[in-house]
Amino acid sequence: MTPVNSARRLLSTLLLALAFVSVSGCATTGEGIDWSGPDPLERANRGVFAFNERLDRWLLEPASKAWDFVLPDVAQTSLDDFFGHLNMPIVLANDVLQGKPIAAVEDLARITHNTVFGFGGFYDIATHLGIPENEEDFGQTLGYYGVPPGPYLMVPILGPYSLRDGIGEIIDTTATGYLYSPIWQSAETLNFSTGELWGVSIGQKGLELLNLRTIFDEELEESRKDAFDYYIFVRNAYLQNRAAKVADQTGAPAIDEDDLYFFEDDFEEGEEEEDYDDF
Amino acid sequence: MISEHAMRGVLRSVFARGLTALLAVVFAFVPAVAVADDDEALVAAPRQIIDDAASQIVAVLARTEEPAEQRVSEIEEIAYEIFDFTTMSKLVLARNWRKLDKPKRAEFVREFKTHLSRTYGTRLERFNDVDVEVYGSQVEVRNDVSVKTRVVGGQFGGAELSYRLRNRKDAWKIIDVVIEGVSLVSNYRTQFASVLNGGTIDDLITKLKDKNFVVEQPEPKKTDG
Repeated sequence: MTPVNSARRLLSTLLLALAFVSVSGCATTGEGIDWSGPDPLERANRGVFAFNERLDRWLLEPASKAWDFVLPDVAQTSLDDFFGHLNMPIVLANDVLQGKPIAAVEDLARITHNTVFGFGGFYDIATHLGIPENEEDFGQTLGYYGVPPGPYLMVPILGPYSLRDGIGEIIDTTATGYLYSPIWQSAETLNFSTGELWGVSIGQKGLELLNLRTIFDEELEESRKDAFDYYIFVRNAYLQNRAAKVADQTGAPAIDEDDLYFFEDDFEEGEEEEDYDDF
Repeated sequence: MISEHAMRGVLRSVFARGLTALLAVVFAFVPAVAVADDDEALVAAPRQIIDDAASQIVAVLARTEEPAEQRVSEIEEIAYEIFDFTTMSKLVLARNWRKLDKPKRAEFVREFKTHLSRTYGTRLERFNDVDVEVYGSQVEVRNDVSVKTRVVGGQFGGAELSYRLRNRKDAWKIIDVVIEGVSLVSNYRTQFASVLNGGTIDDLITKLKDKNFVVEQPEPKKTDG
């Protein structure tokens, strides 16, 4: 592996490792943490979340306003399509790992069509042709084979993860590093210094995230404004969405919450049916 | 020069042929799943309701020449007919609902209903150019029915929205919306539980009122597209 691939891998590994260290730190100090719930580290997580929120407010939000000013919406979408395209081999690998032949064929078709007819991935012609887009990653693969999500972790800069999906992310990022290593090696033969390669690598990831944040700027602002407890809003949405993706059931809630659609009234006979809709 | 349309046609047929062959092979090994007839009868009515409402709403959204406020209020009228806000309120408050007397329940339902229509109404502008396809339905526990839809086109193209309906007083009404696997009822329930953990139901209602009041103020028009 070239230095830059190590750099690429280290970037997210470092941050995730930091989170895991804080997990084990909490575990050893004990203090009666209840590990049975979905978020045993809520206090620490809320701290990191507050940091991330401040980082977003003071750095990422202004940066994404600037990005939005510079780049037309079409170009933002195109760039997002391209980053999605670069990630497709990882999706394909996870299709195969989960034994999903139809998804694998679809994604192979998506890669070839977008490479050949989609200007190397900058135009998502596959979607226009009706080829479904599958979202698979190694965290979902682990979940597919029965690995539970484990504790919820708010990671500095990178945001929400479950322990399982954080590990999945490290694996996927490492694989991506190996996959594109020939490109980086050719850059090295052009006498880029290691420092420059680091810069390019981090810059690429940063650009991807900044562009994505720009596209969803309004949604982010609104969900923040509408939330009653924004930390809980994010955690609940993240965990539900991941569970649904593992179950390939984004059309229905996959959360393990048996009583979600029940309330005590159901079990009381003869109570008059209340209706407050017209008040 | 081949037109884009022709090219798409060619690509589609080439791709479709290959995929069909593959699917034929794969499905040969998959046992057919029989759907019970009574299930089909049960899902027909709720599915029709979502189908109708979706096409009505899409039609209203497409009339972009009309002022946004007018279209939003038209959509609200359609939505009020098909949502069961009482049941949704019970579900989001869970066991806290029991502790409320009737006037408090009425107050909560009213504020929650306003909250939902304000937060989702203001976002409709972004769905001007979309279509919605109903692609499936299934019977759930408690004889609820989930109707699954997908957004076609626009920024949210491909997003999956599932509506859960329950039959009460001989009418099918929506009791939950599940967006990309995220249940709205579950999301509000956990948030409200967190608020109620450190406060009373009055604190929660006050929060709702504050938010509704702020959202009702006219917002400065954004120029950015």
